[in-house]
Amino acid sequence: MTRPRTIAGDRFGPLLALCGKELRQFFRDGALVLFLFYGFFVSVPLAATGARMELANAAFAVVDHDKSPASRDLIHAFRPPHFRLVGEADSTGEAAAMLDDGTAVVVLSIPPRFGEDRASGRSPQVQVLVDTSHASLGVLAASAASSIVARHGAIADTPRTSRNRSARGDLVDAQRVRYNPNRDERRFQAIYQILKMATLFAMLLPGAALARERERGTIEQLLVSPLSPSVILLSKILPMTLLVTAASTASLIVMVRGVLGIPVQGQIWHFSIVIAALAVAMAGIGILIATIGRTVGQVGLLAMLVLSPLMLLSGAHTPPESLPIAVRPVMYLSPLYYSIDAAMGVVLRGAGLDVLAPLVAGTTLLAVATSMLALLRFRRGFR
Amino acid sequence: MRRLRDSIGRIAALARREVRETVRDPMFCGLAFLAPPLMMLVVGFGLDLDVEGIRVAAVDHDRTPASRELVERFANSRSFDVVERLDSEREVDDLMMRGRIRAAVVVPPGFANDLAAGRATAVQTLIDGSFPYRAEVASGYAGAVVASFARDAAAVADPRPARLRESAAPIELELRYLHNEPLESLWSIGPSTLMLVLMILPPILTAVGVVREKERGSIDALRASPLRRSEFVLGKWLPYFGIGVVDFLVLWAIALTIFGAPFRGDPWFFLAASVVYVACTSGLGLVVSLVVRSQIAAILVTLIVAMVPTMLYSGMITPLSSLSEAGRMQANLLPATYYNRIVSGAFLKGAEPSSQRLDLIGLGLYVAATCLVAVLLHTTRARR
Repeated sequence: MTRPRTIAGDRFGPLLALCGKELRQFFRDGALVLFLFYGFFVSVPLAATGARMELANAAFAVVDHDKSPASRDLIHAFRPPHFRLVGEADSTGEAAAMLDDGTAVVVLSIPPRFGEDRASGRSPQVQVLVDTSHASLGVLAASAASSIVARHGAIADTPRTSRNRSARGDLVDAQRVRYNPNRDERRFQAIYQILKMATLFAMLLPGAALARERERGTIEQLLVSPLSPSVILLSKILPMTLLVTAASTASLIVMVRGVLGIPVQGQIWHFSIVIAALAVAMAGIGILIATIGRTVGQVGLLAMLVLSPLMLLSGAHTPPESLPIAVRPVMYLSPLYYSIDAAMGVVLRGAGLDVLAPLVAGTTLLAVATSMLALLRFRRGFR
Repeated sequence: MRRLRDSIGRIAALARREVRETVRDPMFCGLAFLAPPLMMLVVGFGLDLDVEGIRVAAVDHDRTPASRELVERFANSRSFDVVERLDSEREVDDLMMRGRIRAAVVVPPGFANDLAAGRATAVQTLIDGSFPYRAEVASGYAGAVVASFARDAAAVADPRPARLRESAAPIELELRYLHNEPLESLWSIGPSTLMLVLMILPPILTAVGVVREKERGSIDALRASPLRRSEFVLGKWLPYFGIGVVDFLVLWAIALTIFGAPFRGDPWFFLAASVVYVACTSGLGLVVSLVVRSQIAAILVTLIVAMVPTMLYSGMITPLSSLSEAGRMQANLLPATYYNRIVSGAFLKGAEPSSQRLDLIGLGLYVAATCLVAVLLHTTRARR
């Protein structure tokens, strides 16, 4: 009965000591600690309130050639939170100038005799100009403008027609948005920011720590010690995973739930599990990179190369079904892809373990694969 | 005059050493030139914001030709893909929870009868709101599909010409896209990516270049040399600035050829502004490098300082006019905001250089400020 304990002691004692060393080393680097705090705490509310991918307060200008009650009604249909009226122009040329200098991103142009046409049952044509030098704006503005105009067109705007219309029912689209009924984008952005920071730190900290040992030559000392390569690698992965998981969970409790007042529907420890799986997978990638690059500088650049596709092809910006088929495999290889779905599931949809299991399994599978590959390369590199 | 010549000689010597060191590290050197174009390609092609093929479940309680026709409209639209046809709404919740569907359309019983009799009726669309951008687009398109169906149904129910019908005449909408007429995602994202990549990589290269010496201790040799503060800062900065300018030229070529973005502005003005921008971002890396002590910290700090605010406030994703007052103030503090305006002006808007002079001046002030801070922060004495 004593033998297994000594083996365990032999194995875990040095591992714990090495993990402790990594954490101490981290906390002694003041700039790193400061930016860990900034990344997980300060930047989360900033991202939640600053960035918006939805159409919010899009500055729009109006060219009203009609100036009738009917045209004013239509203008009022373009209202916050989607649109914000910033000015009126007398001619289309003037409006185009506003689009050019960025004061407006959308211009609504109403033709003369718009009201008359509406009253007499002819279909008038209004024009919407969108500044599409902005990536998402064209799509969103087009979608919002067409639904506003379609809805407005279905509702009669003069008393006479509305009386007549009572005889005719019309078909409406009763929309309900699940899990985030007010389409509060802060919820998404806040959680996404935590995940982004977790990805960044979980990948760069272990990778750079290993690269630093190589650069300084201290890795040689570890290798001649009775430690196995797997223990050395674990001592890089585990402390940083712990650190990132703790920081993310704290950020969810303090910043997301506390400061931003976003309700967390699921269990907080489920969120921690999701983050931990993500962190291990990213740490595996970081270590793998560190076995390729020899100096911290090289590792940093390689990490940039890997990070940008992993982050962009995570499904947060473009859902997988919209991506070209050739790019989709990259998405299934991104740990962030599974983690975002899982994290949104926990926080917004209150998903339980049965829903999370396959997603966490996906991340874990990637984590195991990258770590094994890293271990393989690490062993070979030093023999 | 001689002092100036000596000074330039010392700067050149330091810069030459830095270049040699970079060239002799083939991986670092290769990555310095390969990483920016690769990053640009990934971001440009990966950040496709067209939402297509949203997975939808249809619950048809009515089972009439009219209800099937409505479901078919969803199936035939480019934006939706009807993946499930269900008999009850019970399964909808579960499918949405698991992320199998992003939206559901529920047609109520008696739908066709109500429609034919002219009674008010509603189709319900349920949308998964956890990814707001998708929800937004899905909601707009769902509304448009139902509205167009309603219009055609009204025409069938009341076959007189539109103006004699009792319901209101529809308003026709003509959408015109300015600056990016074919609504090509790459045209607008490509140039912004140029801004983003130049914001991230040159400062990382510069910061790592300086901190490497600190971490290895070789900076002590420089401390003992006759180099003055400003000479050290300039000599360290020049090579990375040069790499940044070469990277910029490559990225510009990618934007024009592979992305096929139109260039409508003045190329000379754009070149000048871009060189100033690269000077500014690599100068930022210099400032970071003088504050941090380890290369890990240099990479992480630069990345967070450069990336987080740029993605949020530069106008790349959210237009400046949609930002809150506080957001706009932060935007004005970022060099990326000024350069992003110059980029979209030069590529898509074809702006006159004279209208962008202020943005260029802003960038110039930034360069002056970073140089000043870098020189002041650098000490020739060992710390501690």
